[in-house]
Amino acid sequence: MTVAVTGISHHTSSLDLRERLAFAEGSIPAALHKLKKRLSDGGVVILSTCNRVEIYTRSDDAPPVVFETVRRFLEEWHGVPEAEFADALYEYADREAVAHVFRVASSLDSLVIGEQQILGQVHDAYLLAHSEAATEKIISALFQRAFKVAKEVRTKSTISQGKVSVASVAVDLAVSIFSDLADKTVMIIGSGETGELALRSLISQGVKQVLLVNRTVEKAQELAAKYHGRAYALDNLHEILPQADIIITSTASPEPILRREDFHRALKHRNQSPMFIIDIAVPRDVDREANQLDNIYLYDIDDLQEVADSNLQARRAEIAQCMEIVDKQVSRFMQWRQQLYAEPTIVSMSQEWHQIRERELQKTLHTLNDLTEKQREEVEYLTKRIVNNILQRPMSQIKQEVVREDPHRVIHLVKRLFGLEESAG
Amino acid sequence: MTGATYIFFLFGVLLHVFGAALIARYLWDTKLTVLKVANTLAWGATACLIVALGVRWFQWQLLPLTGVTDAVSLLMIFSMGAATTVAWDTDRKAMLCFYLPPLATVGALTLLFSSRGLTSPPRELAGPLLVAHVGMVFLSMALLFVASLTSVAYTFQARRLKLRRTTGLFQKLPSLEELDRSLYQLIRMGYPIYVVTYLVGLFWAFYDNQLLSAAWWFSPKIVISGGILLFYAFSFHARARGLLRGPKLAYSVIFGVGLLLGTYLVLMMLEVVNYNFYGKPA
Repeated sequence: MTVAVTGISHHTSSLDLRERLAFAEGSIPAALHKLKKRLSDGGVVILSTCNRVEIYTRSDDAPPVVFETVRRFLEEWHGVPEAEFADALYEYADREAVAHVFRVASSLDSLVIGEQQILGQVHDAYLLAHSEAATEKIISALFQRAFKVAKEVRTKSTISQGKVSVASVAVDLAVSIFSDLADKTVMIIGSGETGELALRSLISQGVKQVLLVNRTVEKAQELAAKYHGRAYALDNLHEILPQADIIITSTASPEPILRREDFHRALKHRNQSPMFIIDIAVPRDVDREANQLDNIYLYDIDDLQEVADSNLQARRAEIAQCMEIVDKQVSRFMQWRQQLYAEPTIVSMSQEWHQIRERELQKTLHTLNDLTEKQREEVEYLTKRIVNNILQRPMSQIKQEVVREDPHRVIHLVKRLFGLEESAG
Repeated sequence: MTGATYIFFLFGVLLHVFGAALIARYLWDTKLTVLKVANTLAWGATACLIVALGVRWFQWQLLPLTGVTDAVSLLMIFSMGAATTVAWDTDRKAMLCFYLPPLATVGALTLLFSSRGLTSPPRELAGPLLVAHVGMVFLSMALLFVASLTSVAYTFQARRLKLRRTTGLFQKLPSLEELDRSLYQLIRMGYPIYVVTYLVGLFWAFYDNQLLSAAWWFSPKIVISGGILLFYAFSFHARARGLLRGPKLAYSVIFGVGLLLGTYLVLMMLEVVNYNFYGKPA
């Protein structure tokens, strides 16, 4: 019973290679069926994202056979010679494979540690495999456990706290200043990709009122139509400034377009309500002095990056604690999986003993003709209880022994001891 | 009975100190469970202090409102009530980091320096007007005390934002806007109670001034309290009109509470008998 992972990721390969080995979403069902057929009594899940391509398998074959099968499959499916990806490929079996799945789902192996997108991607990959009947008992249990581990890691550590991209840091900071973004007004001055990205993030957090300011009204109107906002020319900036709670500015102006005095006046109009300014223009649009005013929180692109970096650092500091959770859960899963080895033998043992019980019971009942139907039932129930009670201890002992010792040896010994057929289990 | 009072007071303070120690642990690993345990301990502490006051009341058949230990117990009980209300929601629980350690410190200092007050009977207050006055003093003080601690949280949060240090406890605290709202609500409750308290005190002093010296209206307690009242009147109305908001309001609340508690403690410790409320001057 081998659980294995074969894959490439951002740790081991270039984007170019990952693109060549990536599975198009529509092609995954066919790939799952094809690979499943090649594995002995197997289960397959394929995870294909921009940062990793991984194939999770469960099979009765030994690990080297599984790895070889998956390598051949990758070569044939993508038409990429093995030599081109062999160096970037990692292959894990059993405990290492389980640990890897848990790490990936918990976002401990991600490019941006703690990001939450990966859990959704792993979940989708599993659901797709499950809906295509490509999974089986162990691989299903592995993924279900991986989702629980990811949840535990998220709740028991701060690995997912503190955003690490510039746009999401901006949103996080806005949320730490304003309790509810739904009634806040965002002003976008100029146009730029990062600014729009931040605006989109803010809108996704509930911002409804958007003011768009541009040197040309036409450009502002174009953006206003896109984000259901109101358009203004740059000449009106000082007039409408007090309306804005959050300002994202990214013009190409060589001089600051907003100075300390402008915010001083705006604050007066706003009854000293705080203002959050994200200045992503280079050179800067807002005079640095403005940050000295109470209730003005000014962040430029470097500040946002600095926050993102320190959040990332804080996440990295949590890795050791998260790995402890993962290790503990890997041990539990492996223990459960080891116990599965004993299941067929235990079933077979129970059947054998009950057959003996049934045979002996019938012999005895033949000689006891005076017994009523109820008394016969009671005798039968008694014999069942005796056999179950006798079996209880060895069964639990076998389950423990297969975890502690070599399971094959334990099972073999039990079979010999109780005279069970070698094929059982 | 005195022994029971002492034990309950001691337990109350110790539980508060354990709760505050857990806050240090929370600051290390930011686990919500730790904070919840600290909160439970603080509530256990509050229950002990209530029982200690109850035992004193039962023992002496007098309302325990006048000694330093009784006063601190009442302040801690009311403060805990106000603090729990502010930090009720899970996403506001981290506010306890600013509430529990100061309360534990106040309790521990009282235990160290004034626990002898638990053995002596409380002095009788001259009439129900005074009972209402003294009770309301502690209620308004507690609300303003918690407001000042909320102000500390606000200035901490605002400063971290300015310095771009946005990890750790920063991420656990409510937004500046929420802190400002809580701060304003606490002043909005504390300030009117303080005004009523002051008026009740003046009313009593005016009609029963035979208990005080002839120049009762010039006593330090009345003059300083009047000054503090004017200060809070300014802060409250300036905030209501949007003139004072954010860090400046936070600093003014911290200053006001410092003045209020400092004045009260100094006058109480100096035992300025000419201006007390218990009866004729000694």
